[in-house]
Amino acid sequence: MKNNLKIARVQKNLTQQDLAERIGVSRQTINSIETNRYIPSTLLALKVSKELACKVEELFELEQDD
Amino acid sequence: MFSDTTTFSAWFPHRFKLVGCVILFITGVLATFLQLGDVFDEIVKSNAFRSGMRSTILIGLFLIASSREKIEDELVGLLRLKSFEWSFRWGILYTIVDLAFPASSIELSGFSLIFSMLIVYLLVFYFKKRE
Repeated sequence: MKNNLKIARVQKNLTQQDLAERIGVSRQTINSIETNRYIPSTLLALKVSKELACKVEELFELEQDD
Repeated sequence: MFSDTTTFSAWFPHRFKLVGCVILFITGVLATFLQLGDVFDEIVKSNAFRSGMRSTILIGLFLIASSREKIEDELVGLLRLKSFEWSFRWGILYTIVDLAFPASSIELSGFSLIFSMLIVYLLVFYFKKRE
């Protein structure tokens, strides 16, 4: 799964720590999502998209082999 | 009820991790101190002392393994689940080896099995957390 979280976060001028604090997770979790080492739950994906004011589909995209 | 955030949760508050470390430290210091002097030979060799030491070691490790992280989110829960999986597999392998080679030097006891499972759990958990 491809994700555009880093781009969306930087566009909002947020650090990983800022975003992590706002949605109640650790900075490592945000880093793991951005580097594609962890696929978040639906709940967390919705929280992130709400915080970044964009649709979940804009943040996470299915790839051909998914 | 299961949800996509159901992973594996810790039982105790974060501060219990420190309690576990203190228990392990005191046990280590006490065991070392008592083994240094010949005066305490009788105590050290007694079954009650050994059982007591083993129990406190297990309690210390259990508290560390079962305490929440500062931020206990779904990734930490997943890491706990993965670590538990490795620990459980280790426990099965350990038992199989012991049953297959009864004369081997591996002494299977409740303590050594659970001790090694807790160590595997903690090693995998903190290794994966740092990754």
